[in-house]
Amino acid sequence: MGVKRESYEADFLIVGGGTAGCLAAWEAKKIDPKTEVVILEKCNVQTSGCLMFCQNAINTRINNNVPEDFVRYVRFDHGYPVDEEHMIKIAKEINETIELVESWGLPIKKKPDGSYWTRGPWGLSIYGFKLKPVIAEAAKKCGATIINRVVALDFLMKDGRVVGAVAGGNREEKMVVVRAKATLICAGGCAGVFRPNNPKEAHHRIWYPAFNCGASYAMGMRVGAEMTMFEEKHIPLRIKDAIAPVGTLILGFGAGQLNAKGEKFMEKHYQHVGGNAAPTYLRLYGAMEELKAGRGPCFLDTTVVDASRLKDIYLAYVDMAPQILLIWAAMGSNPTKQPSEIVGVDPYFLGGHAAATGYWCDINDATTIPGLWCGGDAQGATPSKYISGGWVQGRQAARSCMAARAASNVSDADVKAQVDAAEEHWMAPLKRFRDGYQGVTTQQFEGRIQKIMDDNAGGRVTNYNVSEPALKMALFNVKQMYDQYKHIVAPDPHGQMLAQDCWDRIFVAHAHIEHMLARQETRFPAFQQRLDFPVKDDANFNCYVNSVMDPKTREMKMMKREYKRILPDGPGDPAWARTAGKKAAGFVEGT
Amino acid sequence: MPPVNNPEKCDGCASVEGGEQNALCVNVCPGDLMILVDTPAGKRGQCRELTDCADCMTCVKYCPKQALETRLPYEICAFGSRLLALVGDENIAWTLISPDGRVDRLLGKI
Amino acid sequence: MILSQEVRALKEQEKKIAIFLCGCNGEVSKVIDLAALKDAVKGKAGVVATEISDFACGPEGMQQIENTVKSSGANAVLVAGCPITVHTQAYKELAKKLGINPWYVFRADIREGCALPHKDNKAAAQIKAKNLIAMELAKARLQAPYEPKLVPGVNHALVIGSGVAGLAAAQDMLHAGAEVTLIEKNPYMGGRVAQLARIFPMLCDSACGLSFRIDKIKKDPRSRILTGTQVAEIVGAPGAWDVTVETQPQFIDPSRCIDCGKCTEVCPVEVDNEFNFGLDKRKAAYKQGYSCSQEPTYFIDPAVCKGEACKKCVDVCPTKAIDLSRQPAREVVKAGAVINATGWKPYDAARIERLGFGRIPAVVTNMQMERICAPDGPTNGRLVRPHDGKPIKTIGFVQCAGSRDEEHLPYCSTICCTATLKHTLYVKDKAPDAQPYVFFMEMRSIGEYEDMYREAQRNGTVFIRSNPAEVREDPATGGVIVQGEDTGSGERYEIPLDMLVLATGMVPNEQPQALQDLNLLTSDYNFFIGHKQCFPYETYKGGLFMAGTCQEPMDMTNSVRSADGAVGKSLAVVGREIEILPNWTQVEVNKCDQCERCMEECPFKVWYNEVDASGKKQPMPNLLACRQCGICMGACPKRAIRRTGYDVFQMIKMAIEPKESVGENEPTIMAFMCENDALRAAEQAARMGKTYPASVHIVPVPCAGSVNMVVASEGFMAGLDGVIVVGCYDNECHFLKGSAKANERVTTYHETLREMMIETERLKFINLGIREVDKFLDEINAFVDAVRKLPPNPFKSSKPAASAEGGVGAGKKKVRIKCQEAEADVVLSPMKGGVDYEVIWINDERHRQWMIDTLIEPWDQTERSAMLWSEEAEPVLDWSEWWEDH
Repeated sequence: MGVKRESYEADFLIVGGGTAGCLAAWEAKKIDPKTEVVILEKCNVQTSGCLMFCQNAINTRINNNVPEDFVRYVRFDHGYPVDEEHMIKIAKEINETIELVESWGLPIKKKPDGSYWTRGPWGLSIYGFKLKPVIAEAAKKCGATIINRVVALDFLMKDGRVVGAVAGGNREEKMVVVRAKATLICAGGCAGVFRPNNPKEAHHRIWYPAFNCGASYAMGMRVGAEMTMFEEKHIPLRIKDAIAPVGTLILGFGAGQLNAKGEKFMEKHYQHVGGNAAPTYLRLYGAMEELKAGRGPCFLDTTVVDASRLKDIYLAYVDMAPQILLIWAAMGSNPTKQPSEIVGVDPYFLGGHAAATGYWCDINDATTIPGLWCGGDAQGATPSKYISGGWVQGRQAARSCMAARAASNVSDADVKAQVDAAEEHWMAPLKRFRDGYQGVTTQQFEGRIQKIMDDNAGGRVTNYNVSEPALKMALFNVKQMYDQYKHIVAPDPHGQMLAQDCWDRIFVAHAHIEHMLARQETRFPAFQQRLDFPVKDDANFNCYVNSVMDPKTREMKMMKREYKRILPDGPGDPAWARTAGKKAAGFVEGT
Repeated sequence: MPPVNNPEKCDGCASVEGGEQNALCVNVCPGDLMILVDTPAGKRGQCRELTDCADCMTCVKYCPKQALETRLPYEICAFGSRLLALVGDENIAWTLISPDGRVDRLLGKI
Repeated sequence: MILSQEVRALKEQEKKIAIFLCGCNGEVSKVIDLAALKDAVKGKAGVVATEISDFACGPEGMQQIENTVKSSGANAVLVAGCPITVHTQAYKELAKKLGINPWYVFRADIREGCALPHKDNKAAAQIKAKNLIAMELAKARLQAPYEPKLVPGVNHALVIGSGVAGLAAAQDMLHAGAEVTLIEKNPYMGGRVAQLARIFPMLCDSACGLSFRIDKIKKDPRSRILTGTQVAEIVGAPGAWDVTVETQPQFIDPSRCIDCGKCTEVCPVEVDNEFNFGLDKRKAAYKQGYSCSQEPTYFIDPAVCKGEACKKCVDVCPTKAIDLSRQPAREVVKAGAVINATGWKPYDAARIERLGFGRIPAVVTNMQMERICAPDGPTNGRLVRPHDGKPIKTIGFVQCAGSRDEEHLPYCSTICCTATLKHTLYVKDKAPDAQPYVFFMEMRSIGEYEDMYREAQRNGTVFIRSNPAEVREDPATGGVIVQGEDTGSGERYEIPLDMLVLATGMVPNEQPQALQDLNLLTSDYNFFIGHKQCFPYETYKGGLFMAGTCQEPMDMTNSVRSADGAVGKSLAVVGREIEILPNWTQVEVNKCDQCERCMEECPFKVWYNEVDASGKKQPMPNLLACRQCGICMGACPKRAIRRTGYDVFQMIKMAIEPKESVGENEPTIMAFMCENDALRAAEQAARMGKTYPASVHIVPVPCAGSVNMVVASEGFMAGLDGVIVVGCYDNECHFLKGSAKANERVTTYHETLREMMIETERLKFINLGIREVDKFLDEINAFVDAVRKLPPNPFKSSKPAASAEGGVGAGKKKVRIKCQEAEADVVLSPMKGGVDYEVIWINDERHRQWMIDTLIEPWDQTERSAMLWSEEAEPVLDWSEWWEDH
């Protein structure tokens, strides 16, 4: 004990000053400037979170359709189930929010006539450098108390209600205790559970921010929050080595996907599921199948782009994935002359991109635990929100929190025991190090989790395919890691953070395996694929698979939740896909 | 793409109080990886764990002295290309230098 | 990076600008076609009216401006004509008259900046004039209005030292309406002047002048005088000093002392009386100061008093005023300004062994001579030898005793000569038959003091141009014999004298530790110096000023003058509420990363850390100490610092503003020039009819150090071929480090350019004196020549020599395509379903993809390809209108 403690009292606590968090703070202060808003941030709000890489586009904007069309597109592109009602609510606010952020100084590419430079039906081209700084500045200006460089450890509970959170400093030895009337969790998704494509020197050269390690989910699981869609890994198809996005070239430059034979394989072999327009997970699945069929590797045909536009390709990437420029330059390769090889990358868990992993929540973003709301990647069942959707969610969650703030106050004494426990847990790795304990380093620990998951829980080595026996093996090994944590050592506060990252990853890995076991079908080929149940089973599984962890025993209780398909078919649902699922299932058999 | 510091140009952000927080790279690194180390010439920014860098190039863009440059992990590509950022107030200019001497200039808004 | 909301608000702020193109009675109009210029600028954003005027600053011109502003509803005026340095007053008054904000009057220099120096190249001048106005407009759009900035202050001044300078300062401070605390380390007031008999040139009694001031100060209810008191600690900043002063133990309670003097009678301790320079003794209990000063009263010197062991005085005191157990008292004085007048002391004559002081009793110093002649001195003013009381018949004076001597005081103390002349007059006055001799090297009776020299010569004083070789005691008379050679006549002399007076010079008093700790700038001889010519009295520590002889040797007249000067300076930081001079420094805390570079680079150290409750530090400038040079603005990597009135964002906008090249293959260059020195040299060059290349666009800046390198970056990115930063010489900079900093930044930036494979010749720093016209021309020409030899700025993609590979032809067609401000040269060749194209030049890379997507790729758009391939197609196709329709 004896570590410095800072105690704050807030009306509204935001865990994670990222895409959703910054907007949530701004919204809360807009509703009531007197609200005490506190943001707990692992790094520095100015540059942290999913926006740290900057982006060159905003993928969600209703350019010239209606919100409902967008939701139809999402439920098709992501596959069912999605919380359509919730998605509509988000979609309705997206354009307005984008304009709001633009007014704060986000430069959006404009045509000389001043109109937005749209990218596809749902996207905008932007200059992404300021994406994070601009919303972070808004959060600072609005007067929220921003606590940078602290790692959120656990929620503080009182009578089954979340009444704040406790965090540990990763720059100095300190504990931060925030008692809050309402708490919003938006600390991002989870990377680093599976072994990355470049396991050595470049092990953080992955697609999702390597510093989002599932705290969002793990904190919730530790207090028994209901989680959904953990069976769905998100596995983007990316340009090899650089792990750079492909959408830019596909949407922005009309580059198609080729197999090693030079065939546009999606058109040639997978036309019945939409060819190039097939859902994200099926496009990955296609590529995987090509490999199996010996037609790999697959490429992105950048050679269709005119040589004079090489610079434009560079420009499109430099904002978002500058590393690929260095690779092209170093390898002396010119994308307009050679196609770029594409691969599936290590799986991530998130709820904001083409996956829906996260908290089970109601239309007002309230989780199953009183006093706790969720947003951004932390929220389940609402995929394809992307950046702008995250912003909107932050705002909407803030409104719910402001409306539902509990009046009751909590004293430091009420939560002392929990804080002491958290402090002991947080300081333990450092203490062990100082005691000269020859334990396990954070790198070793991370490596072991990744190995277990990669081998037996559907990593890249198995083309993301799993069956029950393998999952059982993985489950056994992962559960053991909980106990193994007592051997982890950390030389400094930074190391303590890395240790905590590992701790959170165990929970996410555990949840994933349990969910995979529970969903006995193949609903999202590649994203969620069971070799022992290769067919889509709408009779039993056109629904959510949810779980609740028992905080004491860490046993998971699995349950099914109904999927409400409230939108009738319409634009966005391609004709062939209008009657749910059947053909998709047929497609799986057909190959 | 861990950042490599040019000790000639870096001046530890001239921090009078020498506080760790005071260097911009240390301040902005999303991975908490940049630290100030003491050198004979004074404090200098440095990446504490090269392999943990996630290649976001934030430090490169924020360094007021353009003292930070990024190197790709050799694991994923050959050695020798350079990508240098010149950050203005409204614009950013990138210079991409290939090992064969080819130079590309890219202009964007920030 | 991030424009703060404030700044963005300014961007959006609706400015209605009326432009006036002044022909300056032909000076401008004979070179520049104003009508054409009008057409070129009238359409620019924010411009509501554009008028041509023959003579804008004349009455008609002013009338025209007034009418136009009224009719057009403009809220800002841009006069393109003479430079900012001319007719400033006229336009200030105009602003008042029109009721527009004083900072909303803008000046584009197309006279000295364009018409005059480019009269040999009218075409270029025409283009440059347009560029200059465009730049000024860019600056104007971001201009924030002037609003007075008030900060709370302390209406109290602390004056250290009650010599004549300190007294003058205190008195004038009171006159100016401030409260004053006057502290004096001695038990008496009046400093050195109190020790003088009379004061030249009027030879009035020093006590008279002192009493006059002292009484005035004492009577004033807002004054406090603390004798026996010294500064113990100085903390704080201009406008808010906390000065801890320590008063020696007051063993005698002044309020109970009835001035009977019994304590002195019984006191057993005797020490040299410093007031009379050791000519006599004093007790530990004593009274000092010139005789007529009633207060302060008797005093016991704690340094020598035997204390409780003796207590004779305690017992004898009739009013029981004495308590030897009293301790030193400390208190804190809150003051807006501190005026330091710690004065001087005589050089130790004993060090000049040759002249026998300390060895021969008949050798005294000039200050001892003053005491001898003073009515309240050891001899009660009688002209006798202090050690044996022998009346004086012959007396000698040795000038420059130690002064102007490498071994002793290398400098001249300026007053000794006149003082000696005064002494000869004393002698003639007290003993008309006595014979004074003066041994001198040069007599420096400056100014009107020459009259005293003449009078001394008239009354028979013998002046011998000689530095005595030897001084020895005359055992017979108890006097001295002075020996040497008269360099005037070449004769050797040997003169017996009753007394010899050494004219020793002035050295500054030791400063209290508290002042030394501030590390103020001192001369080689420990006098305080500011920027001696331009800012005397100043110390580079705002709000702390110097008065009197602690700055340099000076006579009483100048001491009083300097005190008045110091008071004048102080008034800027003393008062209940203080208005900050116009260009105060503003910090955008939401952008600041607390890297503290500002603290490091500010020459005046005005930045301090404001620590909030949670312990978070935020660098802030002390606006009262700030000299508003903008060096911090030039240093801040986050552009979180703005110098109101003319800030970094405006410089950036001027750099970004597109500038048309002044000629085929002419580079475009911007020169940021220190408006105090460098700019004047450039203007002078123009007035002298010199010419230099029109490609150089001059921008005045408050100080070369205020130029942030981001401005250069933005400039290069916007296609500038060269950037010059011109400052004064390092040792002349009114902001100490401005030029040095600018130079340093440019040098580091060269390293960046080198790494980016950009020629370092494109960026240069130049030191330029205010009148160095020729150097200006040489440097500018050299720079432009160097840049001309370079390829165009790499960020500005330029037309390749042979337009496209394979050249134009073979069914190909080269056209320039325009749409709004986007512009590109494209080589097109017909092919099925459209055209094959190659973009060979584009004016702004940022439009490239849009042009290709929207204007070039979809060539099958019938009407456009028809237009293109039809015979009469223009080589330039402007799609702007077409675009608006679609």
